Amino acid sequence: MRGYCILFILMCFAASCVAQHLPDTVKLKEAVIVEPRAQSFIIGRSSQTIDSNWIKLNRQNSLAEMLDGSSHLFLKTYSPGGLVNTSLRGMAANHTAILWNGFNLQSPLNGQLELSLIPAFFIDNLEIQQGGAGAMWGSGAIGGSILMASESKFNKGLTISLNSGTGSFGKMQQGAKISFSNKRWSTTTRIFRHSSDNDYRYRNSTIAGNPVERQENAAIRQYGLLQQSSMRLGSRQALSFFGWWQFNDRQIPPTLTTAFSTARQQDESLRTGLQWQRKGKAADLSIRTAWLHDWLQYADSSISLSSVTRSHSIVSEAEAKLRLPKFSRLNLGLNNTYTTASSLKIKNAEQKRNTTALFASYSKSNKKSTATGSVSLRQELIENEFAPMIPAVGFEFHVLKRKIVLRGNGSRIYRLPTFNDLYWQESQAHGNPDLKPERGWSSETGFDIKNETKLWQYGLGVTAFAISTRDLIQWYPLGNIWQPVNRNRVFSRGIENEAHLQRKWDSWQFRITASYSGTRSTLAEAANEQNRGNQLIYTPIHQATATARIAWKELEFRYRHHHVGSRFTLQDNSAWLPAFQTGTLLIQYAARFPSSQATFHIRINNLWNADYQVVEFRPVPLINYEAGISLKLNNRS
Amino acid sequence: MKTILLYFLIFLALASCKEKDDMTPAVEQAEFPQGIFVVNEGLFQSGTGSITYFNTERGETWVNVFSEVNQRPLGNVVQSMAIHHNKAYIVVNNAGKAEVVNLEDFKSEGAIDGLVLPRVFLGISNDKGYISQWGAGGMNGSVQVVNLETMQVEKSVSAGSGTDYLMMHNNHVLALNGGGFGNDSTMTVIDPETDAVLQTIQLQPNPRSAVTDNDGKLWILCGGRYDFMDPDKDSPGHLLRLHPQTYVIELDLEFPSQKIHPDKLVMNKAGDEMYFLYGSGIYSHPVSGTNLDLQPLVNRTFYSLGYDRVSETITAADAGDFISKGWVIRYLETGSVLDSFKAGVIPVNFVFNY
Repeated sequence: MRGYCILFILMCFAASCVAQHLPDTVKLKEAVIVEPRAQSFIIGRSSQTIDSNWIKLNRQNSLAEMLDGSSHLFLKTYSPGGLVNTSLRGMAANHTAILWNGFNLQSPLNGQLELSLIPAFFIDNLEIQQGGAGAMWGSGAIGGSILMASESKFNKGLTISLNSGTGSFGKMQQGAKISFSNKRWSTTTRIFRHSSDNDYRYRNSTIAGNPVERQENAAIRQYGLLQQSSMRLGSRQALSFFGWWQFNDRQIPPTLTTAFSTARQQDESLRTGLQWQRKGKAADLSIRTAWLHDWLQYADSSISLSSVTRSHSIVSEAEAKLRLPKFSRLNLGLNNTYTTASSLKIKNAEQKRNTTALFASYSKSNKKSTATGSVSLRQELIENEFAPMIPAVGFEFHVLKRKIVLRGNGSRIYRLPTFNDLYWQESQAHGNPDLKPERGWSSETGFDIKNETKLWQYGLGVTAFAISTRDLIQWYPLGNIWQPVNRNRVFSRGIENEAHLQRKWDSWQFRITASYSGTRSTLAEAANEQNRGNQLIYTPIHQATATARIAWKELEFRYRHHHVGSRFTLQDNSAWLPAFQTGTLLIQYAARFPSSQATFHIRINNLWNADYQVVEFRPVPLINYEAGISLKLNNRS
Repeated sequence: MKTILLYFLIFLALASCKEKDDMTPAVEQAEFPQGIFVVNEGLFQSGTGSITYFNTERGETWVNVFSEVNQRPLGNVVQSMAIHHNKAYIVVNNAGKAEVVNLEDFKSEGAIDGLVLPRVFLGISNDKGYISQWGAGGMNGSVQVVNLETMQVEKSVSAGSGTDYLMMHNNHVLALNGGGFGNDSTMTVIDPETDAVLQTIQLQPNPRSAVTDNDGKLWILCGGRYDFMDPDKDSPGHLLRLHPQTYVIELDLEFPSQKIHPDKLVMNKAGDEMYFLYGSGIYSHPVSGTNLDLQPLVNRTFYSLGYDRVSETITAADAGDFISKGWVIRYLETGSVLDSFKAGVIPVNFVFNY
């Protein structure tokens, strides 16, 4: 309760505020990079663009570490650096679409992508969109979408950035980024490595006297390379290549209630793509193709288990954005995704799926562009069968001298069964080839208020949402064989608020942001009749975050406070984990020279030394520290 | 000001979303006169098992006996419990231990540690017990000989793959090698005096449970072979009748489906009727039957089955969606329901304590 009081005060203090949902990154004109369709055609959606400084401050961390404590996103973290399930608006991990440069990276086998494995150093822009966007991104965009982008810029000369960090429990991270660009060429190469023993101490609450113990079998090491090259063809066209290779090797630690663990997971992924874009007066065109490859090995010697899975996706997409008369725009696109997955545990050892989608969005504004409406449609053809058509609508009105935005949208949503759901083959667990897609609808409405004076800037955003999903795919024992079935219906609804307040004077800058989400995500139809109406397990009802930033010249302090309400651990809601609060403090100092810059930072995680569990019997580290240095050299600045 | 008011209202509305508050029952007087202990596995990945006590006379349930008495969780994947000389030995699979509790008050007296995927405890004498374990990789099954005074493993008797069910039979210990993470089709016969392996008997694939009938005959239920890669290569289960001394198979009844694996064989009090789980039902078989008549006695999917010789009831556990507390339903031998009670998460075994 104390957490709410603090946040309530913060929010009252912030009083009214900026629409965080309006993207505040300005795309550079010389980049010739056509905006992804999300920007101009998702009308009336709430989303948050992650502050690019925050991304830079986290260059030595994973995306999961960077986003932990972000408003509205709940990360079900099993252990630091380990497994993480992402949840938006009370929905499951496979209900969040995760896209990189416009390509969906959700695994075709389990429908997830682990944010703990993605280095923040590889990502330049990040946006979290809450709510369903089936018409835009297709299958899986139910609770929300996370849009990541690694950008290439032109005309910036030669830039070399090096960073190195260290932290508690043997954490070591190094990264290097070399980019060169002139008017015609742009190339950026990034490499990184990260390792950690993760042998942190924790209090074992399951043993009498709560002794302090050390985590075992939790080490991780990672290597990665990201290459992007772009070439301008004349003044309007650009051709780009990108490739991302990464290798992760991690141990899976035991829980407090198991004696030991020998489980280990290794994965390797390669994502490459080619994109051609043309920016025109009447139309923007883009054609892109990607080849996404994942290899994963999970081994546990104590139970004689070793399982290797592979998947490949070839994605081809063509998209046109037309600027029509009378302030209207039309987006037309065609996407083909061909996926294969192979594993000894997959029926016939290999399976494939071919999906073709035609999508269109139309948006129209009035003359002053104070009113905008959009209609979208998506039609998918899955293995020669038409899926139900997915429509979406949205609106935005700017009133009171554009100080207030009223917005809303609605969309049908769906999720195709994963390859594991369809084709898993093992003696005690079988996939079910007769599964139907999960389907439902998502809607939201809200307002944003923003105002700016000479000294102050403040804003407030409030959104109410509802998502209903039926035919949820759940694994369930039929006889003594586990099988996935379309069984439950989940109704998730709630409210999300953000507020911020900012002030500058002389060399001082001060900014405070606060957010709260209240989510009731309940079983509307349940396999166990007595569980109907119960909150889903590991889905907090209350979540709140507040961040304060104080900067004086080149010295900056950031403090983030995060409160997560209690989470049920059993579906009959008879047991739960208590609410917890954590604090993170970041101090940064940047030394700037004519053509170089050095940045030092210290980060303190779990500042208040809170002893809590995100997942039952999975301990988290007590207070711990990180420090890092980064150097940037540029021949033009 | 209006915004502040709005916030205030929102917060009031949300803060008043009440959370259920019925989790902490008053710790009862630990006393276990007559009743059923239910062994609950607990959530598989990161859970804890529990022991539920059901007082058959008063019809009262105490869902979490161990953790409430001892103020700590029992451990991950609780497998079975056995009572021996007024102590209960609770075998906890993934935690690699057997908790020893005093049956008077259920207080922990220590634990037998260092076991590898242990399954079942069997008391031999005052100071000696056997614990079957699947062993490393779930394939190197053995029977661990435990000194009950020091709670130390003193010897390991190597058996087959996935050594599981243990039973005392005519001064022999029978250890069924249930396959573990592989397959096996043998039973190891051990002399409990010398811990020597007397014989290894060839049965059908993956023997799971054994009972004796009113004629002294030994009945063994084999689940059938699992092919972990291809379910089409599974083999059907078998119900076997063996000569009690020579262990020669006298009757071999094969189940019709190769994909449904029977489990949890129990014998009634009279020793003339057996019950077991097969697919989504409880089935029975008379000891006089020479072929399997597969008519379900109860049509419902259960995770576990037991037989209470005092109340002469079939006790079955329904694990529900496996992420909620399960139910135990007691049936008369006719198949009609006597009563039911809520147990812990994934009820897997019963101990009838009278």
